[in-house]
Amino acid sequence: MLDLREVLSDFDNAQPPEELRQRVMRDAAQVFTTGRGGKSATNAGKRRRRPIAWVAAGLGAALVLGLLVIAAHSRDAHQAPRPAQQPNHSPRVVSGNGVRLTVPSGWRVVRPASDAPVTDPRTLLVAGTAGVHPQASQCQIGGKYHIPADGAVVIVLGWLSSSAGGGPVNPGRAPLDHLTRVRKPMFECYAGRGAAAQVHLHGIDYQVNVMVGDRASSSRIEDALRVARSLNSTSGGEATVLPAGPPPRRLDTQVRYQTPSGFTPEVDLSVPAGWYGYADAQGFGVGKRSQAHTDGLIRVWHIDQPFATTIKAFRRLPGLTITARKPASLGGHTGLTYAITAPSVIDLFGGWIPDGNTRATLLDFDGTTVMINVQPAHDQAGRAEVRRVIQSFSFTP
Amino acid sequence: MVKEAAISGVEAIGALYSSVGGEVWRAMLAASGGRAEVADEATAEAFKRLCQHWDSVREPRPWLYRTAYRLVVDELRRSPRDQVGVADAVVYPPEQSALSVEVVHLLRQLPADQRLVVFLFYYADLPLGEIAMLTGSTAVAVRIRLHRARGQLRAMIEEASRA
Repeated sequence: MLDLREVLSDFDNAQPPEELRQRVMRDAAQVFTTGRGGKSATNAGKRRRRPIAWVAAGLGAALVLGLLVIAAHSRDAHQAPRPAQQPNHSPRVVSGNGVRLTVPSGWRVVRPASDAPVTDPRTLLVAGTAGVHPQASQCQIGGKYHIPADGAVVIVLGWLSSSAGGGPVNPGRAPLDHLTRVRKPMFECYAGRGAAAQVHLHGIDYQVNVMVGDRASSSRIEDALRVARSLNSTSGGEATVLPAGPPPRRLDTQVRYQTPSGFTPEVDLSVPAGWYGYADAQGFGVGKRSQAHTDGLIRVWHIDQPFATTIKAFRRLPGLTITARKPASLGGHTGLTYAITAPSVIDLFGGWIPDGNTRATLLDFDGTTVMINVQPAHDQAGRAEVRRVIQSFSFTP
Repeated sequence: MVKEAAISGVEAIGALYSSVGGEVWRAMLAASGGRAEVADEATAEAFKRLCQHWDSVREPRPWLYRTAYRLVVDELRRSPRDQVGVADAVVYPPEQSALSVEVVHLLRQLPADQRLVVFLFYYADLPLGEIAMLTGSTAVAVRIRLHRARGQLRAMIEEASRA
């Protein structure tokens, strides 16, 4: 089943060009000051006046685009990564909810399917090839994800308050080493090939599941198994406490940070080396730059109010314009993400919303609310980096 | 006096663009099947026409949506469907485009009116009544368009899986 919300999330990255704003302001100035403006030339009118060479160049480029579209939808297209999400070809680490996986080029983090009504184990991290997306299913594992015929997905589940089914699991990574082949049937509701292993890392039982499409190549299967074997917990070892601020301080080469004790909920997060960050009494902020008010900055604060109350107050904030709203889910907590515009800085329950266009996510956190405000990064690589940092958030109530 | 009125008019348009310019542009990007050039043109022209009718427009947001959408439809009528993307490929090559080829391909399976309501319902998460208000339609008509769009996409997926 096609998840249109997931597919259309691409529009998150679509921003009108700055030239458009300039043109609108220029036109407004012209109309209001001179009363002129008349009927402007239509786009088609302009096109008719274009030189033949320009039109030919356009048709040539259209042919290239058409070929790309065809290639993206052919069976052999699985190697073609989406450019916006694959800035390089080296393996990279994706993490979330206390676990991490090393994925090859062409793989990405997939939004987890809902675990409801199951509360334990919970889906912690899902990584898959292009085209993998969650779908509605009553099944526990198989059937919950759409997997293209040549695609693959790796799903990590964690037992956060109990032990794995089937008895205790010996500590260590040894079970992962047995993930060397796929077979079928492996999962209920999924007729294709798969593999699974249970491991006990840093006091928590995990299950890692691999599912591959019917026409997945041997190299694709090997990639999937390698991703599964790379499972590791980010809960072990010491995380560095974020420095006090603002302003944000440069973080050292550590990639794992946590909020100071006393901040509720405790958040464990991974940031790229060289980022800046700070924590204060209300929350914390991390970003690529040192200024507190800049693109790509992620600020998180805790609001000691029920989710519904916060939402109601948020929607009534004077001056705030909400331009879009979507359901959100992070670390097992659900909520809403708003695209917002504020004419000036707005205070909100101990935090603040900057002026301009930002994105605010409010998560229902067991009777209270966690607010995540993101000032959009200017480029796609920056936005992907911000997304990865947010996906690395691991909450401890 | 005239000058002051002009300044306040420009300021009002600036504030309006800050609050709704992005959403109108994105909606037109969807309605045009990912053609950024068409979305740019329609949004800019709609704002310009709003300036020209500033005194008579009571609700700028739906007015902008409807005007921009009409401009998108006009432009799409002028350029055949199979040539969609000619200008985009020049202005926004695939590696720079905000939308992936998959999304563009998917949008282009639908007529413009269905693209717009699918975007407003599934992305902007607007209720049917508000979509009807923005598109100058009725909630029933919006529901029908959504139903048809889902059917068309389902058929497309089934056809692709058979192939």
